[in-house]
Amino acid sequence: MNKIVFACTRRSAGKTTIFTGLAKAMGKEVAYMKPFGDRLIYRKKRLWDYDAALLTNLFGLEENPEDMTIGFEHAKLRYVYDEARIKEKLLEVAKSIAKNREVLFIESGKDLAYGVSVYLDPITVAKSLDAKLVLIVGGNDDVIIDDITLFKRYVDTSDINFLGVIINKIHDLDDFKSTYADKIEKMGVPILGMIPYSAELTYFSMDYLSEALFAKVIAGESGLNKVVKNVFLGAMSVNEALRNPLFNKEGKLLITSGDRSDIIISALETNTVGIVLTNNILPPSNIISKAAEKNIPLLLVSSNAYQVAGQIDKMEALLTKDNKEKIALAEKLVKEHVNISAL
Amino acid sequence: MKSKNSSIVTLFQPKSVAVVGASSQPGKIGYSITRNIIQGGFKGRIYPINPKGGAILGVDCYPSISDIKDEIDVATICVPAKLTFDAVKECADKGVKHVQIITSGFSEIGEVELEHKIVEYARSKGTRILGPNIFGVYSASGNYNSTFSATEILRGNVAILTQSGALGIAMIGKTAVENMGLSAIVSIGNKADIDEADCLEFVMRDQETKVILMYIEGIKEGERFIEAVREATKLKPIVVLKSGRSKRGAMAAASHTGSLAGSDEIFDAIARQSGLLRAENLQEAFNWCKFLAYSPRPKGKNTVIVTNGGGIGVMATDACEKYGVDLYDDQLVLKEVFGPATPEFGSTKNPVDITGGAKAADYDLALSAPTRSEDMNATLALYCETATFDAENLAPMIRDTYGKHLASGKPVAYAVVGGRSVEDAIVQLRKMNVPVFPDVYEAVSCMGALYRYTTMLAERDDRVDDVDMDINTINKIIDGAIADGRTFLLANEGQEVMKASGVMIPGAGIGKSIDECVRLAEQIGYPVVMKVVSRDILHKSDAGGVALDILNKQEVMDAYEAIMKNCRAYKEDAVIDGIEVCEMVQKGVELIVGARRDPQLGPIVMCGLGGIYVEVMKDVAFRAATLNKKEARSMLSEIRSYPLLLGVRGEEQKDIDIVVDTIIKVATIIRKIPRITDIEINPVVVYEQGKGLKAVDVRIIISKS
Repeated sequence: MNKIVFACTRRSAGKTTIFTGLAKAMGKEVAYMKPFGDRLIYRKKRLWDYDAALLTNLFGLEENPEDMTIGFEHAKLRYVYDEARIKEKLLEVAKSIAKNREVLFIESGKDLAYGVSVYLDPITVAKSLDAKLVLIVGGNDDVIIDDITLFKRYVDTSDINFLGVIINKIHDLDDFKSTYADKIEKMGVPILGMIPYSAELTYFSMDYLSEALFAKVIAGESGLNKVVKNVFLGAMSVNEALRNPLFNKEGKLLITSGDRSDIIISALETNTVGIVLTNNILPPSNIISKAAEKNIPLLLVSSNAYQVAGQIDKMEALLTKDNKEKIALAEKLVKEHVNISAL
Repeated sequence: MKSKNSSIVTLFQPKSVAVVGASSQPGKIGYSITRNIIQGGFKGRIYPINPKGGAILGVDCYPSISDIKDEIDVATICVPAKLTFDAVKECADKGVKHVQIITSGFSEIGEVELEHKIVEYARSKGTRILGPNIFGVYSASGNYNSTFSATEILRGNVAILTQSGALGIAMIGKTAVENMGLSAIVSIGNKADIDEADCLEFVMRDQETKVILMYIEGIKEGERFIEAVREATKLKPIVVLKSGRSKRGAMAAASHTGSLAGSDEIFDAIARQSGLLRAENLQEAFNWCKFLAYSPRPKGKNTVIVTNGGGIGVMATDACEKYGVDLYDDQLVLKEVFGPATPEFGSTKNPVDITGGAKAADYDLALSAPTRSEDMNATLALYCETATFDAENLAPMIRDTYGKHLASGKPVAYAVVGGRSVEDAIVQLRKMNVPVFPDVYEAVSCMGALYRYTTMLAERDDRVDDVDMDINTINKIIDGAIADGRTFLLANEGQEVMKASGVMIPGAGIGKSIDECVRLAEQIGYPVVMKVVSRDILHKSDAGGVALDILNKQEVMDAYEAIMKNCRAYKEDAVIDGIEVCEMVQKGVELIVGARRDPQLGPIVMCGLGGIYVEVMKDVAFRAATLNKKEARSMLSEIRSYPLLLGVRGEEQKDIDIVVDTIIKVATIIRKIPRITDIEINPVVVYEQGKGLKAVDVRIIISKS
């Protein structure tokens, strides 16, 4: 069975998206595990990783997402396992998860160091499971080259099968290829793929946003599937807002408080996919009715605009099982830009 | 109970009095007061004070009080407000024991500082102040009338303490019309110094007083007031009229004497607890006073109604239910006693209907019967005017049967309805203090008041139950909060206070590591709840910092993991002090138990239906915090939801004893820890008998002073 550990140097390099695309593109019977979870979901006393649940849904995996992760928190892992036991557990989980499958994808945590003190960092996991290692890097060009160089220079991969690097989110693919590809190869780091940046992959739906903000949907429920492409903070007069080109951009999310009737009305008339109403301030009922009429979701939150903007800024636009366009795009990007046969 | 200092008796039975601002001009207050003292039969020395000198009604005036060589017991001041301080100063310097300030224009119009200045100076010299803003004092035992009433005061057995001057003066007139003699009437006014509690000390022991009537708008020192009325009601019934029931009434009261009415519901509860009889209106208050003054106390609860009309009989039955008068219902005895007086087509059931054809002699027969029966303790006699009744014998019949009841030591009240002859009879009889009323509800209301007082005397238990508690620990917790700059205790501090008071709380502890949390969970026992403890995370549930219904060690570990992970994701830089592991409280009946320092009435306790709908349901009862277990139980039984504790729909009875204990503990806390101003435990989850309760959420507010 082909076992591959996917690691990354930084958070949000795009691991999940890449191997979602890979799993689709490979067309093989895939198994998945994420030994050290970092996107915890805890409901009804069950714990599982978001990514495990996503992959389970996407690929119709029979196994429970809860069984794909050993733990989420250092203190608990230290309490329950020592080095020997964690290796035993890894092997046990891998064996049970990957039964009758051709490929086992093992996703590591948010960066290379994550889990090293509890023997669940990607290098140790690759060694324990005798798996191949693929490194995923992403960001601006300097960050990419720094991360690859750091890895090559300081990480000992002598006793693991390091396959190479997949470089993700490249803004100018041709420029990158011509400037850096050679240099990287010469370092002795095989390049398995170079994937261009895709803005569509950063979009999220209003439904996703409402869950992330714990918002109350007060109108436009049927528009919750709309996709946010731009965020506009309504902190100026409506005249100034209308003059701003961003205000008229497609797929706009407006953040403002409910007593800003002027800007809300303008937004409802101009390419808005949703409005976040801050400070628990409701707009007048005629505005709510208008939003409902236009199927534009109004999300009510108790936080202020600063807090909401910060939350959205930090938010990761994770894949969801319903987002078929994103999944198809991931598959397309991988097929076009990754050497699948090398895996 | 003791008065602040100097004997209050001197105020009512002075040996020497001065009137500062006395006047020889009729129509002036200084004249009226001097006249009333002289003409009221005062046997002591009288010193009218007027700088112009002269004489008033044959009594020489002095230019100033300091010119009087003798000691003065009471000085009445009726000079303008701007001259009052100097007048009081002179009196206090002379060593006058009591000064009553008739003058108005002080705290009732916002001049609080001047009033304080007067009292402060007077007290520094050992002088007590009555008023300001009063009409004076009348005392029958002192032969002393220092009021400016225009009407002569009829001597009698009712003492009135009134906060309203105008109403008090009007009551003097009304009592004369009602033939209700007074043993004393005193106007308390602004209560800058002497208040009802002080005056009660006198009237409760005054031989001439049989009943006390108080008109109150606001109370200043609640604890003293409650203690005073409790003492007084042991000896004499007290009828109270308290205004400011409605919001507007309260506002009107605020402007009237500068006092704000406290919550009426709370006052009502405390009035009942203290044995006060609260009348709805002035007429009812007067009716009760007369009835209580002249009626013997019933020796049992069995009341019979004798009527000549079915309709009025039914009304009386309804009224008895409303006013808590029990009707005797042994049919055999009723038939035996009333058979000879009742025609065949009448009824010997209670109400006993002697029919519309009854004449005076028939009434005499029927109303004499209960006076001889050991089974009957009180009578309500009803008469509807009929064409066949010998009207000229109505009043004599009532008088005679009243006399028989008095002789047998049984109370009776009459309600008679009819035209001119009936109305004339009422007037005539009331002048003789026979309890006859034109309305059946008035009659029954009086009987109800008498029964309430009698029952209260028989059942009263003035013990105050106390519990031992670790006061030092509680004070240390409060010290910590104050040092932290807080006027409230944190949740865990509140729980510590409960622990120190012996109130059962869910087991809890804070674990700083996973193994500590596991250990705590095993110690407390499953199921448990786990909650993040962090001053940076206020909304625990939003942060994913709460895990419920944890059943075993594995779940503790998983919950720990989830909480820590979620909270770090929620706020990266949050300082997490640990995870609270607490007992998951099982379902039970949710009550609320609380206490606070009412600004007027002092420490009070509350209990009722708790939970999240407490503000909507408002199913609570109140008492003064000086109570015992019996009173606490009675308080609990007043709430509408009490049947839930008794067990409904096949459920077991709940542990009422432990709820009573908890009320006592909370009462003890508010009494013994002055820095605690408010406690609320909501919910208190009560389980089956023997299984106790848990105080789940405790809120305590403290004050620095």
